[in-house]
Amino acid sequence: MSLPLLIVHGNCQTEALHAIFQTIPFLAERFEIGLSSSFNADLPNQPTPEDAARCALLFEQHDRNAYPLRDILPSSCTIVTFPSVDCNLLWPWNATNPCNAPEPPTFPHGRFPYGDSILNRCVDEGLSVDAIVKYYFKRLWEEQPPPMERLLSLERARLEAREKHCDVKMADYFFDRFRDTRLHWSANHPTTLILCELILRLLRTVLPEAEDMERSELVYRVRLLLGEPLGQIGVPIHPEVARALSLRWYRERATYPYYGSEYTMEAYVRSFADYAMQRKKAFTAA
Amino acid sequence: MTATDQNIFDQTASVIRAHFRVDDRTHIGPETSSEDLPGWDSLSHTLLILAVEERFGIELPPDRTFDLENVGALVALIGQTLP
Repeated sequence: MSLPLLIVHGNCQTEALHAIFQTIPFLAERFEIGLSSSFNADLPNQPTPEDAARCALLFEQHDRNAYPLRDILPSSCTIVTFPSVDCNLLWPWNATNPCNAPEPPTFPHGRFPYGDSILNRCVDEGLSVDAIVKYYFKRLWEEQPPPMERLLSLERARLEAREKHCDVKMADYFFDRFRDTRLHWSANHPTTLILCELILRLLRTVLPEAEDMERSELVYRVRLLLGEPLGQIGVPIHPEVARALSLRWYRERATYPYYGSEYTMEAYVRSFADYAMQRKKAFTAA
Repeated sequence: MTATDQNIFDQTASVIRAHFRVDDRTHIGPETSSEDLPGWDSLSHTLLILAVEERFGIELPPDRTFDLENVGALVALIGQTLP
Protein backbone atom coordinates (compact mmCIF):
# COMPACT_ATOMS: atom_id res chain seq x y z
CA MET A 1 0.00 0.00 0.00
CA SER A 2 1.40 3.38 -0.99
CA LEU A 3 2.08 6.09 1.55
CA PRO A 4 0.05 9.30 1.62
CA LEU A 5 1.59 12.01 -0.50
CA LEU A 6 3.10 15.22 0.84
CA ILE A 7 3.75 17.82 -1.86
CA VAL A 8 5.88 20.89 -1.36
CA HIS A 9 5.31 23.63 -3.95
CA GLY A 10 7.33 26.76 -4.57
CA ASN A 11 10.55 28.25 -5.89
CA CYS A 12 14.12 26.93 -5.72
CA GLN A 13 13.99 27.02 -1.92
CA THR A 14 11.43 24.23 -1.97
CA GLU A 15 13.93 21.98 -3.75
CA ALA A 16 16.03 22.27 -0.60
CA LEU A 17 12.98 21.75 1.62
CA HIS A 18 12.14 18.63 -0.38
CA ALA A 19 15.67 17.28 0.07
CA ILE A 20 15.63 18.04 3.80
CA PHE A 21 12.21 16.46 4.31
CA GLN A 22 13.64 13.20 3.03
CA THR A 23 16.29 13.20 5.75
CA ILE A 24 13.69 13.37 8.54
CA PRO A 25 12.97 9.76 9.53
CA PHE A 26 9.40 10.07 10.81
CA LEU A 27 8.41 12.12 7.78
CA ALA A 28 9.99 9.75 5.25
CA GLU A 29 8.31 6.79 6.99
CA ARG A 30 4.90 8.42 7.01
CA PHE A 31 4.77 10.18 3.62
CA GLU A 32 5.85 9.89 0.05
CA ILE A 33 7.35 13.32 -0.55
CA GLY A 34 6.83 15.13 -3.84
CA LEU A 35 8.15 18.40 -5.24
CA SER A 36 6.26 20.88 -7.41
CA SER A 37 8.18 23.78 -8.92
CA SER A 38 6.47 27.17 -9.18
CA PHE A 39 8.99 28.47 -11.70
CA ASN A 40 9.96 25.50 -13.85
CA ALA A 41 7.14 23.17 -14.80
CA ASP A 42 9.57 21.26 -17.01
CA LEU A 43 11.48 19.81 -14.07
CA PRO A 44 11.28 16.02 -14.05
CA ASN A 45 8.91 14.21 -11.70
CA GLN A 46 6.48 17.10 -11.24
CA PRO A 47 3.30 15.87 -9.52
CA THR A 48 0.66 14.68 -11.96
CA PRO A 49 -3.11 15.16 -11.59
CA GLU A 50 -3.21 11.60 -10.24
CA ASP A 51 -0.67 12.60 -7.59
CA ALA A 52 -2.67 15.69 -6.67
CA ALA A 53 -5.80 13.59 -6.28
CA ARG A 54 -4.11 11.55 -3.53
CA CYS A 55 -2.26 14.38 -1.84
CA ALA A 56 -2.75 14.37 1.93
CA LEU A 57 -0.62 17.39 2.80
CA LEU A 58 0.37 20.36 0.63
CA PHE A 59 3.02 22.81 1.79
CA GLU A 60 2.47 25.69 -0.59
CA GLN A 61 4.79 28.66 -0.83
CA HIS A 62 2.90 31.92 -1.31
CA ASP A 63 3.83 32.81 -4.87
CA ARG A 64 2.34 34.44 -7.93
CA ASN A 65 2.46 30.95 -9.44
CA ALA A 66 0.15 29.08 -7.07
CA TYR A 67 -0.02 25.30 -6.97
CA PRO A 68 -1.66 24.59 -10.33
CA LEU A 69 -3.59 21.46 -9.35
CA ARG A 70 -5.40 22.86 -6.32
CA ASP A 71 -8.80 22.07 -7.86
CA ILE A 72 -7.95 18.37 -7.95
CA LEU A 73 -6.81 18.07 -4.35
CA PRO A 74 -9.07 15.87 -2.21
CA SER A 75 -11.19 17.71 0.32
CA SER A 76 -9.29 15.92 3.08
CA CYS A 77 -5.96 17.43 1.99
CA THR A 78 -4.42 19.81 4.51
CA ILE A 79 -2.86 22.91 2.98
CA VAL A 80 -0.25 24.97 4.82
CA THR A 81 1.03 28.15 3.19
CA PHE A 82 4.43 29.68 3.89
CA PRO A 83 6.57 32.57 2.61
CA SER A 84 9.69 32.51 0.50
CA VAL A 85 12.62 33.18 2.83
CA ASP A 86 14.38 35.93 0.91
CA CYS A 87 16.12 39.17 1.80
CA ASN A 88 17.37 42.32 0.10
CA LEU A 89 18.98 43.83 3.16
CA LEU A 90 22.51 42.51 2.73
CA TRP A 91 22.64 43.38 -0.96
CA PRO A 92 21.15 46.85 -1.45
CA TRP A 93 22.34 46.94 -5.08
CA ASN A 94 20.94 43.54 -6.02
CA ALA A 95 19.86 43.66 -9.66
CA THR A 96 19.48 41.66 -12.82
CA ASN A 97 22.85 40.94 -14.40
CA PRO A 98 22.48 41.75 -18.12
CA CYS A 99 25.83 40.11 -18.87
CA ASN A 100 24.95 36.76 -17.35
CA ALA A 101 24.08 33.82 -19.58
CA PRO A 102 23.63 30.10 -18.88
CA GLU A 103 26.70 28.01 -19.68
CA PRO A 104 25.63 24.42 -19.05
CA PRO A 105 26.75 22.05 -17.74
CA THR A 106 29.26 23.90 -15.53
CA PHE A 107 27.26 27.10 -15.02
CA PRO A 108 23.61 26.25 -15.74
CA HIS A 109 22.48 29.57 -14.23
CA GLY A 110 25.41 31.53 -15.65
CA ARG A 111 28.67 32.54 -13.99
CA PHE A 112 27.21 35.53 -12.18
CA PRO A 113 23.47 35.00 -11.71
CA TYR A 114 23.30 37.82 -9.15
CA GLY A 115 23.75 41.29 -10.59
CA ASP A 116 24.72 44.50 -8.89
CA SER A 117 23.34 47.83 -10.11
CA ILE A 118 26.54 49.68 -9.19
CA LEU A 119 28.78 47.22 -11.03
CA ASN A 120 26.37 47.22 -13.98
CA ARG A 121 26.61 51.00 -14.17
CA CYS A 122 30.40 50.99 -13.90
CA VAL A 123 30.65 48.47 -16.75
CA ASP A 124 28.21 50.55 -18.84
CA GLU A 125 30.39 53.61 -18.27
CA GLY A 126 33.43 51.72 -19.56
CA LEU A 127 35.53 51.91 -16.39
CA SER A 128 38.52 49.59 -16.18
CA VAL A 129 38.44 46.64 -13.78
CA ASP A 130 40.90 48.39 -11.46
CA ALA A 131 38.85 51.58 -11.51
CA ILE A 132 35.67 49.63 -10.75
CA VAL A 133 37.26 47.87 -7.79
CA LYS A 134 38.65 51.15 -6.48
CA TYR A 135 35.31 52.93 -6.82
CA TYR A 136 33.32 50.06 -5.31
CA PHE A 137 35.42 49.80 -2.17
CA LYS A 138 36.80 53.31 -1.72
CA ARG A 139 34.37 55.90 -3.07
CA LEU A 140 30.95 54.35 -3.48
CA TRP A 141 29.87 54.64 0.14
CA GLU A 142 31.06 58.23 0.44
CA GLU A 143 29.45 59.36 -2.78
CA GLN A 144 26.27 57.31 -2.93
CA PRO A 145 25.44 55.47 0.31
CA PRO A 146 22.23 53.46 0.07
CA PRO A 147 19.49 54.44 2.56
CA MET A 148 19.98 51.41 4.81
CA GLU A 149 17.48 52.44 7.50
CA ARG A 150 14.84 52.98 4.85
CA LEU A 151 15.68 49.66 3.22
CA LEU A 152 15.31 47.98 6.61
CA SER A 153 11.83 49.40 7.14
CA LEU A 154 10.76 48.57 3.58
CA GLU A 155 12.02 44.99 3.92
CA ARG A 156 10.12 44.61 7.17
CA ALA A 157 6.98 45.90 5.45
CA ARG A 158 7.53 43.62 2.45
CA LEU A 159 7.92 40.46 4.51
CA GLU A 160 4.99 41.32 6.76
CA ALA A 161 2.75 42.14 3.79
CA ARG A 162 3.53 38.79 2.23
CA GLU A 163 3.05 36.88 5.46
CA LYS A 164 -0.48 38.18 5.80
CA HIS A 165 -1.26 35.53 3.18
CA CYS A 166 0.62 32.70 4.94
CA ASP A 167 -0.13 30.24 7.74
CA VAL A 168 3.54 30.04 8.73
CA LYS A 169 5.42 33.30 9.44
CA MET A 170 9.19 33.81 9.27
CA ALA A 171 9.78 37.57 9.42
CA ASP A 172 10.07 37.57 13.21
CA TYR A 173 12.80 34.93 13.08
CA PHE A 174 14.71 36.82 10.39
CA PHE A 175 14.60 40.26 12.01
CA ASP A 176 15.46 38.86 15.45
CA ARG A 177 18.58 37.07 14.20
CA PHE A 178 20.05 38.48 11.00
CA ARG A 179 22.57 40.59 12.93
CA ASP A 180 23.83 37.62 14.95
CA THR A 181 24.09 34.89 12.38
CA ARG A 182 24.27 34.37 8.66
CA LEU A 183 20.80 33.53 7.31
CA HIS A 184 21.30 34.02 3.57
CA TRP A 185 23.89 33.15 0.93
CA SER A 186 22.24 35.44 -1.57
CA ALA A 187 19.04 37.43 -1.79
CA ASN A 188 16.93 34.39 -2.61
CA HIS A 189 19.02 31.55 -1.15
CA PRO A 190 18.75 31.03 2.62
CA THR A 191 21.20 29.09 4.76
CA THR A 192 20.49 25.71 6.31
CA LEU A 193 19.84 27.37 9.67
CA ILE A 194 16.80 29.38 8.58
CA LEU A 195 15.58 26.61 6.27
CA CYS A 196 15.50 24.27 9.29
CA GLU A 197 13.50 26.82 11.28
CA LEU A 198 11.01 27.06 8.42
CA ILE A 199 10.75 23.29 8.35
CA LEU A 200 10.12 23.07 12.08
CA ARG A 201 7.41 25.72 11.84
CA LEU A 202 5.79 23.97 8.87
CA LEU A 203 5.78 20.54 10.47
CA ARG A 204 4.60 21.78 13.85
CA THR A 205 1.48 23.29 12.32
CA VAL A 206 0.15 19.85 11.37
CA LEU A 207 2.23 16.97 12.73
CA PRO A 208 2.35 16.33 16.50
CA GLU A 209 5.54 14.26 16.08
CA ALA A 210 7.37 17.44 15.10
CA GLU A 211 6.90 18.92 18.56
CA ASP A 212 9.65 16.60 19.80
CA MET A 213 12.14 17.55 17.10
CA GLU A 214 15.22 19.32 18.39
CA ARG A 215 16.23 22.35 16.33
CA SER A 216 19.96 21.83 16.86
CA GLU A 217 19.73 18.15 15.98
CA LEU A 218 17.88 18.92 12.74
CA VAL A 219 20.44 21.55 11.75
CA TYR A 220 23.30 19.18 12.57
CA ARG A 221 21.79 16.34 10.56
CA VAL A 222 21.04 18.51 7.55
CA ARG A 223 24.54 19.98 7.56
CA LEU A 224 26.00 16.50 7.84
CA LEU A 225 23.89 14.97 5.07
CA LEU A 226 23.30 17.89 2.73
CA GLY A 227 25.65 20.67 3.82
CA GLU A 228 24.26 23.95 2.61
CA PRO A 229 21.84 22.91 -0.14
CA LEU A 230 21.47 26.50 -1.40
CA GLY A 231 25.05 27.59 -0.74
CA GLN A 232 26.64 27.07 -4.17
CA ILE A 233 27.22 30.81 -4.44
CA GLY A 234 27.68 33.14 -1.51
CA VAL A 235 27.25 36.67 -2.80
CA PRO A 236 29.79 38.87 -0.99
CA ILE A 237 28.52 41.54 1.38
CA HIS A 238 30.00 45.02 1.14
CA PRO A 239 31.87 45.90 4.35
CA GLU A 240 30.01 49.21 4.70
CA VAL A 241 26.66 47.41 4.42
CA ALA A 242 27.78 45.07 7.19
CA ARG A 243 28.80 48.05 9.32
CA ALA A 244 25.56 49.90 8.66
CA LEU A 245 23.52 46.86 9.68
CA SER A 246 25.81 45.96 12.61
CA LEU A 247 26.27 42.38 11.39
CA ARG A 248 28.12 40.79 14.31
CA TRP A 249 28.96 37.60 12.41
CA TYR A 250 30.52 39.43 9.47
CA ARG A 251 34.25 39.17 8.78
CA GLU A 252 35.69 41.57 6.23
CA ARG A 253 38.35 39.09 5.09
CA ALA A 254 35.93 36.18 4.79
CA THR A 255 35.77 34.12 1.64
CA TYR A 256 32.55 33.17 -0.10
CA PRO A 257 31.60 29.89 -1.79
CA TYR A 258 31.49 30.01 -5.55
CA TYR A 259 30.68 26.80 -7.40
CA GLY A 260 33.02 24.69 -5.29
CA SER A 261 35.80 27.21 -4.75
CA GLU A 262 36.15 30.25 -2.50
CA TYR A 263 36.46 33.91 -3.39
CA THR A 264 37.29 37.02 -1.41
CA MET A 265 34.94 39.90 -2.06
CA GLU A 266 37.55 41.82 -4.02
CA ALA A 267 38.28 38.79 -6.21
CA TYR A 268 34.56 38.33 -6.80
CA VAL A 269 34.05 41.97 -7.82
CA ARG A 270 37.13 41.85 -10.05
CA SER A 271 35.97 38.65 -11.76
CA PHE A 272 32.43 39.98 -12.12
CA ALA A 273 33.62 43.18 -13.78
CA ASP A 274 36.13 41.40 -15.99
CA TYR A 275 33.55 38.87 -17.16
CA ALA A 276 30.91 41.55 -17.79
CA MET A 277 33.35 43.52 -19.90
CA GLN A 278 34.34 40.48 -21.93
CA ARG A 279 30.68 39.68 -22.58
CA LYS A 280 29.96 43.25 -23.55
CA LYS A 281 32.89 43.36 -25.98
CA ALA A 282 31.82 40.04 -27.53
CA PHE A 283 28.25 41.31 -27.89
CA THR A 284 29.40 44.57 -29.48
CA ALA A 285 31.71 42.74 -31.90
CA ALA A 286 28.89 40.40 -32.93
CA MET B 1 -4.51 62.06 -17.03
CA THR B 2 -3.46 65.57 -15.96
CA ALA B 3 -0.10 67.05 -16.95
CA THR B 4 1.13 66.38 -13.41
CA ASP B 5 -0.04 62.77 -13.54
CA GLN B 6 1.61 62.38 -16.94
CA ASN B 7 4.84 63.78 -15.58
CA ILE B 8 4.77 61.40 -12.61
CA PHE B 9 4.03 58.52 -14.94
CA ASP B 10 6.86 59.43 -17.31
CA GLN B 11 9.38 59.69 -14.49
CA THR B 12 8.15 56.44 -12.91
CA ALA B 13 8.37 54.61 -16.22
CA SER B 14 11.89 55.97 -16.66
CA VAL B 15 12.90 54.62 -13.24
CA ILE B 16 11.33 51.24 -14.05
CA ARG B 17 13.15 51.08 -17.40
CA ALA B 18 16.47 51.82 -15.77
CA HIS B 19 15.88 49.50 -12.83
CA PHE B 20 14.89 46.47 -14.90
CA ARG B 21 16.96 47.49 -17.93
CA VAL B 22 13.88 47.51 -20.12
CA ASP B 23 14.51 48.70 -23.68
CA ASP B 24 12.38 51.32 -25.42
CA ARG B 25 10.63 48.70 -27.55
CA THR B 26 8.92 47.27 -24.49
CA HIS B 27 5.69 49.06 -23.69
CA ILE B 28 5.22 50.33 -20.15
CA GLY B 29 1.76 51.70 -19.39
CA PRO B 30 -0.41 52.19 -16.31
CA GLU B 31 -1.69 48.66 -16.77
CA THR B 32 1.81 47.12 -16.76
CA SER B 33 2.28 44.81 -13.78
CA SER B 34 5.15 42.87 -12.27
CA GLU B 35 4.16 39.85 -14.33
CA ASP B 36 4.84 41.78 -17.54
CA LEU B 37 8.47 42.63 -16.85
CA PRO B 38 11.18 40.00 -16.36
CA GLY B 39 12.94 40.41 -13.04
CA TRP B 40 10.13 42.32 -11.32
CA ASP B 41 9.50 40.14 -8.30
CA SER B 42 8.93 40.70 -4.61
CA LEU B 43 12.65 41.16 -3.96
CA SER B 44 13.34 43.61 -6.75
CA HIS B 45 10.15 45.54 -5.95
CA THR B 46 11.70 46.82 -2.70
CA LEU B 47 14.73 48.18 -4.54
CA LEU B 48 12.48 49.67 -7.23
CA ILE B 49 10.58 51.50 -4.49
CA LEU B 50 13.87 52.87 -3.15
CA ALA B 51 14.76 54.08 -6.64
CA VAL B 52 11.34 55.72 -7.05
CA GLU B 53 11.65 57.41 -3.66
CA GLU B 54 15.06 58.75 -4.59
CA ARG B 55 13.79 60.11 -7.91
CA PHE B 56 10.83 61.94 -6.34
CA GLY B 57 12.45 62.78 -2.99
CA ILE B 58 9.67 61.15 -0.99
CA GLU B 59 9.01 58.18 1.28
CA LEU B 60 6.05 56.06 0.22
CA PRO B 61 3.89 54.58 3.00
CA PRO B 62 5.32 51.06 3.49
CA ASP B 63 1.95 49.52 4.34
CA ARG B 64 0.62 50.53 0.90
CA THR B 65 3.70 49.78 -1.13
CA PHE B 66 3.63 46.02 -1.44
CA ASP B 67 0.10 45.34 -2.63
CA LEU B 68 0.19 47.59 -5.68
CA GLU B 69 -1.44 46.00 -8.70
CA ASN B 70 0.34 47.81 -11.49
CA VAL B 71 2.33 50.85 -12.58
CA GLY B 72 -0.83 52.97 -12.53
CA ALA B 73 -1.36 52.18 -8.84
CA LEU B 74 2.27 53.06 -8.10
CA VAL B 75 1.90 56.36 -9.97
CA ALA B 76 -1.29 57.13 -8.02
CA LEU B 77 0.45 56.41 -4.71
CA ILE B 78 3.35 58.67 -5.67
CA GLY B 79 0.86 61.42 -6.57
CA GLN B 80 -0.86 61.08 -3.20
CA THR B 81 2.47 61.16 -1.35
CA LEU B 82 4.03 64.14 -3.12
CA PRO B 83 3.71 67.37 -1.13
